[in-house]
Amino acid sequence: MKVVIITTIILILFFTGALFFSQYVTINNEKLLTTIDKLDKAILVEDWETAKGHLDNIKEDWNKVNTIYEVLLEHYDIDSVNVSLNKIEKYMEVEERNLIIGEVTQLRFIIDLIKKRETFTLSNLL
Amino acid sequence: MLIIFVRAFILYFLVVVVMRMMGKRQIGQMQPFELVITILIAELAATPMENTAIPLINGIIPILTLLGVQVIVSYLSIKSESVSNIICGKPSIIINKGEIVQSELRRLRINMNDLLEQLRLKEYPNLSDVEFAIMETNGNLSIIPKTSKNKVVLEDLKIDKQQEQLPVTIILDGKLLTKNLDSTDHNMDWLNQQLRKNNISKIEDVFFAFFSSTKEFHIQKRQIS
Repeated sequence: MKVVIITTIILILFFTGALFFSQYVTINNEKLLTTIDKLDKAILVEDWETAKGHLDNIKEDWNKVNTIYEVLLEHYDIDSVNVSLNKIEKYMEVEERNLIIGEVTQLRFIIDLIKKRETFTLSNLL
Repeated sequence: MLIIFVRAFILYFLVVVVMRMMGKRQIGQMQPFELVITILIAELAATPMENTAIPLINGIIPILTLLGVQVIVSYLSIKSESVSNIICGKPSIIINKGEIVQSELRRLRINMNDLLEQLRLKEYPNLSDVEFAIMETNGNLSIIPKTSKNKVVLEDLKIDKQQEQLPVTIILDGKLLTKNLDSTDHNMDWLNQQLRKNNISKIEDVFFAFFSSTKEFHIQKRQIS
């Protein structure tokens, strides 16, 4: 009976934890996507100072969630985001607009993909 | 490499704990769904063990989830007959009063050769010696032979014998099991006397010592390699 109770509690904890994590990813990734959009707009008009500010915000927000994401998400996606951020930072230093736009698009895609992958949908389930 | 090493360690202990919590059954005695879960757990443990890009929790969560579901399903099987019938199925009588139940053989998709093989493995080479044969839910065949073919027991010979007790291990691999010694009517002085009788100087030199079911004391010295 003790084992039944313990395992039932574990199942409930996992379920609530998973729900909480799904919400956490959705909220944080939405915030990142909003900042990425602002970054994109700043780069299009070549406002490098503002773009740098937005990039710093993105990096700060990403580092905050990265600690938890590293434990719970596959490392391929996390590594891809880190590579993109580093590339954007370097391209921004040399003010290479075209390359940055490409990288920002990729970054937006990966962040959105992470969000969609963690959402409980039929397509993810199947 | 160190990461793989530590992950293997963690997952090994997790699997051991999970298998313990699942209960004591041998592979041959498991229900089909229990066997499937055991194989699944092995597979789930292997994947994060060898691939460090996959978080360890991706192995831990499904393993513990399977454990939880299996424990709950087993518990419900005990509490409810209908759940037990759905999950485990029902035993099937294949031979009833010496006659083969052909409809059951067809339903279970067992052919005669399979049945005869099972009977031979159970040491009943003659079908005519079997009164009942039951296919259990775990796939084993239980045989109830005809009365005239039953093995002779002491009761048949009207022999009275004292009930045998459980064997009690006293020393195991050089270590004295004090609790077990206390459960018998003997103490350390008696044990030391027995050691001296067998030319053994200390407990650490004993490989195995026990009281048999008939309360005889047996002792075996450790071999020096």
